Amino acid sequence: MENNNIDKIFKDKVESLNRLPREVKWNKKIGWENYSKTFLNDKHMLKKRTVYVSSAAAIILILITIILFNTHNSTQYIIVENTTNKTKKITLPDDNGVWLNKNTKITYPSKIKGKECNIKIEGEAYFEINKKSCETYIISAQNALITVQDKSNFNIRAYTKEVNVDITVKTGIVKVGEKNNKEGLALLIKKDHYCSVHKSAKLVFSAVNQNENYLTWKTGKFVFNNTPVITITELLSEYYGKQVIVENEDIAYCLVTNSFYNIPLEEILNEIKNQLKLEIKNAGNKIILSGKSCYY
Amino acid sequence: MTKKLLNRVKRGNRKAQKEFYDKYSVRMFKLVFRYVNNEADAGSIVNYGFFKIFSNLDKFIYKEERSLIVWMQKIIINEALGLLRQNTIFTDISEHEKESVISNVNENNLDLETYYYIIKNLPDDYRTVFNLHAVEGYSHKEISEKLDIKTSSSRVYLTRARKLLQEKLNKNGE
Repeated sequence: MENNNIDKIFKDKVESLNRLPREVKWNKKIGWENYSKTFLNDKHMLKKRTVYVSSAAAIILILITIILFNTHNSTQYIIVENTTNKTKKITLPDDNGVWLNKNTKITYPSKIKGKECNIKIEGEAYFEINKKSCETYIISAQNALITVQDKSNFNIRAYTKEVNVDITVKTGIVKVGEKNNKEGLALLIKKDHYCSVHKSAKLVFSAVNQNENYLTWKTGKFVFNNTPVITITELLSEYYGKQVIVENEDIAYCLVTNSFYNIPLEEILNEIKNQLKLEIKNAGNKIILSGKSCYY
Repeated sequence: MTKKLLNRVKRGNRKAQKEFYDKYSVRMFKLVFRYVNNEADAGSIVNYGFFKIFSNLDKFIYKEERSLIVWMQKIIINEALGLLRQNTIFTDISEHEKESVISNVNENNLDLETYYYIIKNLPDDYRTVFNLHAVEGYSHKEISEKLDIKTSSSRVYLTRARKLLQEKLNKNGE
């Protein structure tokens, strides 16, 4: 009797159990009712995520605006907008660094000190809070509220076009909550974890980060670890600003394991092409991949 | 059939989503309930999973139903592991245990449900590894990455799980 016999016995039995165990009260009706309550309260929620691809040469420009608010303490706010097609690093008044992805806007106080410092992000930014000049940094990004009380490095992705705001913590710890639900749960997000805040369902969800490419926009490094071609084409389209598409479904789930660091798009595609025996066509501003299935 | 339904779901059609949920949710619940202990957790994992499935379906290109199910199961298992990792600490085991050969397995005709519950009643860490490896077919390397333990620890957990299962099986069969 071999070891994996016991595996096989259990696998077979478990798979042939084609109903729920008797004591379970859950059923698909109850499940769907809960699902509708939690997730279906906004008809716009399942909009497709569109990847931004700049068509013409982007205007190389960084806008800096200084606004004087006439509030009691008259805090001055600085707005920096990255409209270039490259990432930019800025330095906050307290010497902490923030990287801005394309199409990103940050609003921060001209003096960072005291109890609370409010920062606002639209787009994607990587914060390096390595020095604490303010007791609590409060960063608002769409409907997510990120509170930072310890030295931490983290990425916030909050594009208006996407349904989730994603916060991924590289070092340290941050607290994430939903803006309109102040009594609701705020989660502590530790190193190597990410958190998703859904825009309309007001959900905060956290798990171990498995996306090795969340900082590619900043580092230029792609790590593919049994990654399907369809995912790769999305990542490449976004990073290089050029549409890369899969022509036939057969190759969409072919898996690639490889890594690339600051390598031109054409070379990456060539490598994948050779690995999976694909064909590459250039059609105007699109690159089209096609080929035969790699399954079975 | 499935392909048509899938296209309607992709367009955000609620009726189609319900139909899709009706078609696959029991299967997914049965899967999740093998990993987590209580119904409430299992129910919410299934729903989070379905939300992710619906949100990511535009990235999935339908080929055949089997690959759709495998893809959905992966999403659901990741959801389950996310919760398990919050509640269970998967630790590394340094002791060397050989993969001992198990003999005398009574493959009696127990109720299918009994097999299900025998797995369910394993300790959290053993159960997770056994489910992932033996039932879902993940390699030790994949398990080690998912649970953040060494591959050798994954092997030890599996061996121990097998031993316990064998004991239970023989006991139940008497």
